[in-house]
Amino acid sequence: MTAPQQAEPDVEVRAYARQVRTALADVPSERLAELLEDLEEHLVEVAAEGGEPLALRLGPPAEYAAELRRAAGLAEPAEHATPADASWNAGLAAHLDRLTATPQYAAVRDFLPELRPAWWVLRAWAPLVAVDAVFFGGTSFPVPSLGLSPLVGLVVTGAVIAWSVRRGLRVRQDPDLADPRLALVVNGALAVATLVALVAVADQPEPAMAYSPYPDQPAAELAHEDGTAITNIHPYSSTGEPLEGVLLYDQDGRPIDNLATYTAEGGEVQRLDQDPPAPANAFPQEQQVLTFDDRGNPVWVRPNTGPSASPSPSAPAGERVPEVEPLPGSDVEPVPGPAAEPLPGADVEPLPGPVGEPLPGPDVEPGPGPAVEPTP
Amino acid sequence: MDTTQLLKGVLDLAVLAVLDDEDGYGYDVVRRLRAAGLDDVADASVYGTLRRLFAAGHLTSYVVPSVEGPHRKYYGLNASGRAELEGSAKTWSGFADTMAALLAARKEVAA
Repeated sequence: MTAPQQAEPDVEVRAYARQVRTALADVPSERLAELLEDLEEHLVEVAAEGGEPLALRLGPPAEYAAELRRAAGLAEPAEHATPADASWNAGLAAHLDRLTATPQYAAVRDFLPELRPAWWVLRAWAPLVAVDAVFFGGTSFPVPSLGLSPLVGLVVTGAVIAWSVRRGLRVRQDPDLADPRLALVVNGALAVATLVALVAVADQPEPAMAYSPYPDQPAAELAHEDGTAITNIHPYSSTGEPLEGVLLYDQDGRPIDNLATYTAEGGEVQRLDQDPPAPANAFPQEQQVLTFDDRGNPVWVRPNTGPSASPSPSAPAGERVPEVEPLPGSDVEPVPGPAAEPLPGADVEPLPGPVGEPLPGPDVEPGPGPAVEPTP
Repeated sequence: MDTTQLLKGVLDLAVLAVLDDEDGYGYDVVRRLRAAGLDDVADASVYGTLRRLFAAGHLTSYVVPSVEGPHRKYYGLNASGRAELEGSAKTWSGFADTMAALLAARKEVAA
């Protein structure tokens, strides 16, 4: 009965009908639907008789609405509908009418209904994504899992979409099912949910990064405050004697073995096996560093151990060669060779030394630190 | 004298009377009222009256599908509506008689 089955009511009818509805906006929706159920048909019928505009034949829409309201025995409009509001509404309505009379509006209006099925899907999916994002952290995009398993999320999403499309099809077939005001409220809420979902989608982190606050941070390696990598540690006694096989522990008794694996120049540092095998936290370590010769070939170089400046003035630094010695061909060791001949100048000695002896370690001495007497 | 003011009091009766003749839909009732001489009847008043009489339980309604135009909601009297028509018609007749007598008496006085 309601659907204009054959000819679409023209712009005049729809504009008039809308203004009548506007004037009756305070009427409860179920009464309003009943009151206006054949308004359009009436207007179409009057318009079909030809002649003067509807507003002349039936009076202004507001008057029509008032008459309808009075005759139907409904309450007068609420007090807050002041004349100022009314005139403002009327002005707005006039603007809308001018706008809706343009061919561009007609083109858009005729096209929009084609997009309805897309909206049916969107209005089902978006609220789920919104709920997922707001209440469950929204880690499962594009199919919201709602804090449950992805399969459950998929089933729920599918069911809601199916229901939404079915509902859409039924209302399209029989517009009487639709309650315009309820539809406005519900679709408005769904539109808001869509907005929330869009924000959630935009905020979606890369899945791999979802749980790591510092995704690009490698395990901490020893470094100076200025960022220079610490690739080896050379302990000295208070008298300037280089110590060997010193085991280092942190405050919890955990071995300190997280030396930087790359030098400040970018060369890869590789620890050499020692004989007898030494723990990873025994220092100094025997190492080789991957560098490149002037022809660009990779070369493993064993850096001269020892600091470039002696830690104490009394240190016998005289014959130390602090720099990496440019190695002649024969000394260049192609990759991993077991600790070869000690370099000349390097104080490396296959250790009988402190390494061999059991040092006071965390196993022996429980406590916040290795029991090493502080040297004055 | 503005007949629209008079109509307000008797529109229920007029609509009931028209529907007692034959069922009709909204605009059909408007046309028949006008054809009967109530030229000033407002469309919205008739539609509103139909809604109110229906809500009061005096009317039945049914939808008649139409091939060439919109479906139409037809209204007809039920028992309650016929009783209402009966009572209102009596009231109106009494009132009209009273008014007629009043005016007739005034005419006689003036004459």
